[in-house]
Amino acid sequence: MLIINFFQWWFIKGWFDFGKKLINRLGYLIQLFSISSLFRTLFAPWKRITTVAGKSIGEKIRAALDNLISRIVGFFTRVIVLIAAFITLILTAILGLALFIIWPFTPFLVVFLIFKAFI
Amino acid sequence: MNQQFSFSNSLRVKRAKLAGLLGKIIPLKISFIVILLIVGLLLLIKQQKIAYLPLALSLADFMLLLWYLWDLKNINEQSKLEGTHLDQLLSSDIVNKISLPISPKDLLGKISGNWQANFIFTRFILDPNNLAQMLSLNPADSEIIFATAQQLARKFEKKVIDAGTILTALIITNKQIEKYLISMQLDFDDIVNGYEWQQRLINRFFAKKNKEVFGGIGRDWASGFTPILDQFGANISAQIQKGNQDFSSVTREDVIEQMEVNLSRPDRNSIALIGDPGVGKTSLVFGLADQLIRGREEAGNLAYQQVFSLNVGTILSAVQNGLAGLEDLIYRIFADLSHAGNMIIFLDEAQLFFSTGTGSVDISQVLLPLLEQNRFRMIVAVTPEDWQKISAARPTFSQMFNRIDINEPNEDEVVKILEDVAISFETRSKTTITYKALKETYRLSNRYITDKAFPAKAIDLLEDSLNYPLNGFITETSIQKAIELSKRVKVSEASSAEKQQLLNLEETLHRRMINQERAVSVVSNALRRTRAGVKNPNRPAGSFLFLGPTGVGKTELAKALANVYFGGADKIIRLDMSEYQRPSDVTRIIAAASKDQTGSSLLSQVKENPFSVILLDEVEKAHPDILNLMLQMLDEGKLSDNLGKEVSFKEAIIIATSNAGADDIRKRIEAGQKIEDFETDFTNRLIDAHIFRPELLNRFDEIVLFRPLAQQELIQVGNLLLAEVNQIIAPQKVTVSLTPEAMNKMIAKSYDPRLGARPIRRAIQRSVEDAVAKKLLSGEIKPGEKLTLDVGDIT
Repeated sequence: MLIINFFQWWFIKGWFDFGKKLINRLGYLIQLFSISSLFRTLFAPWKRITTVAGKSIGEKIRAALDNLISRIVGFFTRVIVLIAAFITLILTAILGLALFIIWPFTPFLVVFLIFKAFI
Repeated sequence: MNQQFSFSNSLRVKRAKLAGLLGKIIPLKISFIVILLIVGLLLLIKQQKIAYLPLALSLADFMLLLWYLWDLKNINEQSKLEGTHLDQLLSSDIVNKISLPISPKDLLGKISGNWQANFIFTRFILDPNNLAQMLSLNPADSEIIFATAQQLARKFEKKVIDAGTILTALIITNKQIEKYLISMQLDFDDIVNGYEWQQRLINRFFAKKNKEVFGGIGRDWASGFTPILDQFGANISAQIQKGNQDFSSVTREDVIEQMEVNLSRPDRNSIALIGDPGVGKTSLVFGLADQLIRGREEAGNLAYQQVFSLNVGTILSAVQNGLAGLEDLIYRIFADLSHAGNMIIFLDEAQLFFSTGTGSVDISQVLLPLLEQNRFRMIVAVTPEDWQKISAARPTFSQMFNRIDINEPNEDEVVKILEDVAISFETRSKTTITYKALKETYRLSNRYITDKAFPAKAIDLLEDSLNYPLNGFITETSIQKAIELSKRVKVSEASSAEKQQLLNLEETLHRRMINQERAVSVVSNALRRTRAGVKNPNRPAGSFLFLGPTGVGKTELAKALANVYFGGADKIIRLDMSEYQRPSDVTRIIAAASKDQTGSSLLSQVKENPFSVILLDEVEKAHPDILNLMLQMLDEGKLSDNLGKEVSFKEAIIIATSNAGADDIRKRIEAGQKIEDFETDFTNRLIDAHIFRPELLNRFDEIVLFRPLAQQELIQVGNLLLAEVNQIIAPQKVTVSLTPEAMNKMIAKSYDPRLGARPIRRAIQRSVEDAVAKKLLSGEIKPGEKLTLDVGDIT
């Protein structure tokens, strides 16, 4: 009775739960890497470091240049993190998907391995 | 309740048994999987065919482990609490212990030892063996227990019936146990409250929580650095994120929501939390920071904003050490804050930031333009009195804030807060706090602690009581001991010695009082009523009007009462009401004490020393407006000061004295009348003569008439006063006495029927004290000697 219950769980609820956990994991990674926030502020100055423009043209150009550098630093930092995030997400998704596909075959794999050990 | 419960050895029971077994061997199982995997891989490297067997077993075991972790372990969460099949309703830890039929007594035996049952036993100091003796052996009686348990579980939104639920149901369905509880001053409601406490703990500590990321790694990249701000305070949100803050889960969601709404406004987005000290203003800010840093939906555009608490002490220290000028430093701090863009600044005890004086700075002028431009959001926490001062001195500045009044939590909320903090107190003190101790904490702090608001005063009292455990338990006795020592009051049941003293109170008072039998008797009765807890708790401990001539012992009785009941002659607040004859003198009665100096008004004195005798001399001379105040004081046991804050008189004994009609009393006594025979007529005459209003007289517990002292009684007074002199000179090892003739002469010389015993004191001073002083100085009397004064020595 318990054995049947185990297999019922493995092929139906367990499989479904695995899929749900995989999706939750991907959601967690999206939050961990602050993906929406990074996209929203992709071109924002790094840590709000900006220079207030002075009156002269030279000062204005220098301020614009400073602000541009701050934005570039911010952009690259965010892009690097975004790339890392996507790699992590893709790897997790691929691995998770592979395991998700293998999941229903696992009991058969056990039987196969036992069979292979003796024959 | 007619439902019939059944039980079968269903799949759920078997799953619960397996879950219980697997739960015990999880570490073993993981080790087994790892070992099999390693062995399999090693054999595989060596190209052994048998390698596939350990690999297969490892994989199978891993599948079993997943089954346990993802499914079997969560049997309780999968239940629905429907139907009457107990095997589907009971929690997994007891479902394999119970089967039907089962008697209530056996049921108790099955759940004893379970932590949830033990929680109820220990919090109420219940002995399982005692309970067992009161339970039936008839299985049919268990039906009502299961039905009640199911109702309880539904009420508290549980998914299963656990051991705590069954024990609670066992208790609240048994009439015999009810009597047992009453003998312990408990009832069924208390047990259900204890059960609710347990449920809140389960939800708080055992509920599954998702891993939180607090906005992730890039959360603050679009916000500025705050290097200067960081030096002058603490980031509350960062502390919460690290899990360093443990505050009660009983938060006032409605107030936090109000704070969020006001902070989200496009203009005037700063708030002032106004509430008495200890009402929980700082906790609310922590609650807000907690909501915001978790990025909850309710937070809206405030999500992931951080709350930073600024410390005035570090600012002043930096200025004093010459590290910066005050104004410059304040500008730099707030420039940092403004630049950050993700910070809400919190000024706790905000009066320190908006006043000048020791330990405070005034930054309102610097802040005003910044607040007008909505450069940042600010929360200030301040008491109503301080806010009134800030608003009066800086009206434009105070208008920049949205005012949120924080009220005290009610009893139910306070007890819940205490339940939350009790757990951390227990861990710290290695004690167990009982439920009754929490209720007693609320009751006693409500009654005796007046300088702080709830919940702080209750939390402080509970913390104090940790020093007085009883066999590892903090009980109501621990709480009583803590309040008795801190407030110098008697709240616990009188000890046998004290009971004896109360029963013989007249004798104790007569050591200082000559005659005045009736006065001593009514006062003693009133004290016994108070101490036995049979008086109205919403009125003063006692209120008396003492009427009689001068020098008959009215004030002396008040002093004796202060000494006997409140434990010190200094526990007396004395007001000469003849100095309160103008309407404007009302202010002198009700003026609130300022923070900087102790007030001298009656209310501020009573606030400082609520456990006192309040002696109002010559009360009839006070202005009618002041007598009106007395009506409320006597009737409701409280008065409000000029700031609207209530001051309690419930612990005080109020004694008003008056000489009105003194001649009338003397004449009647001289005519041979007894006080008992004319006191009603005498009181009516005072009302008819408009000396006292009937509504005032009716509010006193007793109107006590003091009779004039006869010459013979004055000799006893003289002896009492002589004893006092001997007490004073005792350190010089000399004693003084008067011959009977000398005493008679002194009394005869000073006797004035209108002035009673008052001239005796002067006579003692003149004849005895002066003589002793002269002889001590001249060396005529030496330590160890006794001076006896005779008729010739009396001047």
